[in-house]
Amino acid sequence: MQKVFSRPSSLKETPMHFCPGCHHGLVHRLIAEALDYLKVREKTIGVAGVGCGVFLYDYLEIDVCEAPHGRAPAVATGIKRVHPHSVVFSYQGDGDLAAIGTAEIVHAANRGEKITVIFVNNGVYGMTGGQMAPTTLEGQYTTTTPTGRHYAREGYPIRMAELLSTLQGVSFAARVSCHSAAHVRKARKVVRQAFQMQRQGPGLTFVEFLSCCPTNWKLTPQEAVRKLEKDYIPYFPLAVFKGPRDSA
Amino acid sequence: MADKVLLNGNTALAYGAVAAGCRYYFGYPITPQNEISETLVRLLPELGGTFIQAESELAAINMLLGAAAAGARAMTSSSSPGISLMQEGISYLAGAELPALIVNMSRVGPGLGGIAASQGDYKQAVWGGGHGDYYTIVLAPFSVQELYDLPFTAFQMAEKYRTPALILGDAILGQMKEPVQLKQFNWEKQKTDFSLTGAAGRSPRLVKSLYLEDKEMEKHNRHLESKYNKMKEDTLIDMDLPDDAELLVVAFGSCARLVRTALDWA
Repeated sequence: MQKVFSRPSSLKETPMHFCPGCHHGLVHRLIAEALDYLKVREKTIGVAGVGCGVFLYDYLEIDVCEAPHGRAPAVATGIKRVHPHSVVFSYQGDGDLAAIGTAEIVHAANRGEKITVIFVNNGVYGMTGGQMAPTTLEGQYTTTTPTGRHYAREGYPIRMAELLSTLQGVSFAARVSCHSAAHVRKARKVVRQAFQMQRQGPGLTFVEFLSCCPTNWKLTPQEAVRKLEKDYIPYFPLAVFKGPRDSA
Repeated sequence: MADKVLLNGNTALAYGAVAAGCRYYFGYPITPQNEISETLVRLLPELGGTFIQAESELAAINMLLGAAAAGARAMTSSSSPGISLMQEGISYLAGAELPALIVNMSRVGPGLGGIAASQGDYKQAVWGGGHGDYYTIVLAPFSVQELYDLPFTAFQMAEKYRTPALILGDAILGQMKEPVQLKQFNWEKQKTDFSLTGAAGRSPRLVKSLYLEDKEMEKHNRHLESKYNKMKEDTLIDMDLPDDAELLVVAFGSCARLVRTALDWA
């Protein structure tokens, strides 16, 4: 019998700690598949931001450096400049990348650092227990928006993929989701494209994932997927904003 | 031995860092230390190194963290308010046990303070500076020659103990000119068995300072403590102590020059 599907070799056989219905595990797997596909596991260095994604090193069979909160693109810059032939990526959540780390991501992008940034946007601070994120939607309840986010009071959710796509140093910027099998298949191509383009250069490649956080959205995994479709995708459209569009 | 050249302290430090094998520099402009970056931007690319003007001191110290994790001999420099911004990164460097050089050409504070010389960062420097009760190696130059010589010593100590080293200079030392002998240093490539290079033919490596299990954290801090105690053995001191001395005066940096003159007159 022909084997058509197996665990990517870049993914460790460790049970994941993520909550039921969380998409971090899927995103980890898609990264592992891309590294396998491009045969670059042994030259890849990951940079883990602070948040639920910090345990990247527990699951991926690669060298990893922890970064202080928000600073992953700066850490990745230092690593890539020392090892220009390696594959370097940062893995960051919405608080990490779109709040405390906005300066680092914008300037790494603007310098055209040859790194890939994987951005997991679930509209909430997950690890600290569900506070408002820069990507929380209007009306969404969080522990720091107990009456729902009001744009007049807390401002607007930031569309990072669109923002970064306007910078000349960015060669690829896309937003994907992995809440259904069809979306996983599209996301797989996009992640692969982002890593491939890092190798070819020039410029930073950026993939934003919309992701469910059922625990902090106070929903079941199924309800969370419906919320992602109904509320998140209309505000955060899934598209390739810069780079070859046939990848999605 | 080459003849002496006349250099200001900041420029001498830049030459000294390169002579010590430093090939990566990340920094953000601030007075009174800009000649360091303005010299390194010319020297490093010719040697196959990298110079980046970062968007902030936060970015600079974290680029340094990345380069140190990748196994490079790397440095940053700044002055007091900028060094305050770097404290988060210095704490992470100490926690993750990465060797790196941070230069503080200190100015007067607190707050924006001023650009005049001061030794007001003494406590911040010798008591760690950031969160987590760590110590760093702190070397205090006394002359422009020492600004040239100390980067080599700092990298040697930082790599020996795998911890960040600070050079604590000041505005007077950085901007005054003195004759400097441009010595050659016998630097070796540092040991990089902890460095991130891609897990080719070996198991993956991890650079981290996060320890969520209580026992792990305690064990790590005990290990750091024993390292800090050992570091004291390498204390550098320049001492003239006559047998009949009644008074001991301790000073560092540009202030030590004044003290020495005063003692000569006494």
